[in-house]
Amino acid sequence: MQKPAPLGFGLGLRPVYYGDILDNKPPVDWFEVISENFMIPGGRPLSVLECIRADYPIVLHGVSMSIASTAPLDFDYLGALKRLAERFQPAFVSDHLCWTGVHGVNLHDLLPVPYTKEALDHVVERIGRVQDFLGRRIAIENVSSYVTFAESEMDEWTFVKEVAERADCWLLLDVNNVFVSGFNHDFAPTEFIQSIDVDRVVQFHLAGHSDQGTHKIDSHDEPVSPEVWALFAEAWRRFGPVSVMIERDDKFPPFPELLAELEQARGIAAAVAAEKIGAAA
Amino acid sequence: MKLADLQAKFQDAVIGEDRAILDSVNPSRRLDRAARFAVYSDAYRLRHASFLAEDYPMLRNAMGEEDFGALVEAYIAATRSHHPNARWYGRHLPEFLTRAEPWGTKPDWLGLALLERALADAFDADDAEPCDVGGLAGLSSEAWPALCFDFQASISLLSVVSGTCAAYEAAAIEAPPPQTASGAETILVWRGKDQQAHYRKLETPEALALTEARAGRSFGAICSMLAFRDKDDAVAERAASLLARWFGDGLIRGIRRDILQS
Repeated sequence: MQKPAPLGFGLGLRPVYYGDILDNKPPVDWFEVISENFMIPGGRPLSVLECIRADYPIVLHGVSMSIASTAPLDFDYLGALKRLAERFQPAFVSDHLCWTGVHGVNLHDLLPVPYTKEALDHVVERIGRVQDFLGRRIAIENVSSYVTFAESEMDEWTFVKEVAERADCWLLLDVNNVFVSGFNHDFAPTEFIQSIDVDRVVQFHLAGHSDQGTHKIDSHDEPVSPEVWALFAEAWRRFGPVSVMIERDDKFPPFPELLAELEQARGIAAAVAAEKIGAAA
Repeated sequence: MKLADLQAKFQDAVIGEDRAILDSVNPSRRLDRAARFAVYSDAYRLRHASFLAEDYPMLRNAMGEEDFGALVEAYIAATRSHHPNARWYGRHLPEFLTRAEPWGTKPDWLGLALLERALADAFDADDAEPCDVGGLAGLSSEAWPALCFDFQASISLLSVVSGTCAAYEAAAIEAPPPQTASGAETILVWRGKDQQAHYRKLETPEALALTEARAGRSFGAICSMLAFRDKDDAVAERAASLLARWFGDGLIRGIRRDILQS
């Protein structure tokens, strides 16, 4: 199994930054695109994406595949995703290990899965059908969660590892989500990181979170926290080099601040690489 | 519990008051079951309220936080999203305004809601290259009456309470709403060549002419309609000037001949 070549250090493509990107062609290696935002008939978002795609690799990252839902797979949605992928030729197509609704309703949230054998079989079967339909291996992301279920029969990382292995899909490791869920559910984030197969991880997410005291929320409205940077260094040590990107979805800073955060990610990755070379010498 | 039952109970609890799911939720060291689950149910309401606030910013300004908040709460309680893209969640808000008390008696708010929805729809409507007015060059005067026009998918013609455009412009600068007059006004909404959504209020002859032209009537038929209405000798020149403006605004994507007249 040959992992795709790393794309480098990317950012989430958000409308507030269209001008900065189109006018300045900033030193960002690639952009991650929220797939659903471009499943529209026409207009500026699609023409902006055409322009940006001419200069940068992109990844399509969805929020509504609802891979763990017990509702039937939505083939209208998957058809639109396939057409989008054919048009923009992304390096990867990814979505979340979650469900977003049942009975025809979409709650527009990344809802938690009980870590049961039944859920595992269900998710594996559905990823297989999605990959067959799209004609490509997809990447599945671990989500932040705020509850655990009495029904669960295994740890989250065991579930994630099994999903990837049995469905033969890639993993998008969200380092911030590991940290947030670790705090909320009292597990050691490093245990999660160390349990996942190196060969499956093709991408990292980094993001900020909000601290509510009793729990943390994956809010994407703050810079990456020092604890998440430390966990990123550990993840890079195990999985690197892989494609990395920073998500920002609220309280948008000036674009140069995101570039500075991306530089921080590059610096950590370089330091870990130097450390590995030093250890090998 | 089977996965399907767990998801159904979870969803019921996020949307409504049923808390049967709490039997399946583990408490944490710091939070009890209900407080943990509330992260999801609170987020549901906040997220859907933010979709509506993003889609209807001028309506929000015009109504004020209290009234808009009550409308949003009522809409969320009554309306589920059935689309993978949250962009479509708020599209039934204008109809909801007309049938829900106390908002049904406020035609000025309905006008604003319809205008904002049309602007959102125009923004990402289907693409088609606008037709250049040069396409008419070289046509003989005999050919003009049989010409028909195809229009962009982004166009809406709204019939709303008089004063809606003025109310929208006042809301944009957070000024007090102007006094609304009785009667109706027609607003054209479209996506321009700059890829932005635009609007303008139409005088009655242009509203009639554009309605006829979009229905496939020929240039000659539109001139006859205007002449009948206004008893005006210069009707062909006035119709040509409307047509020039439509080309200039990028409303027209194609020209064809009405085979019945050619």
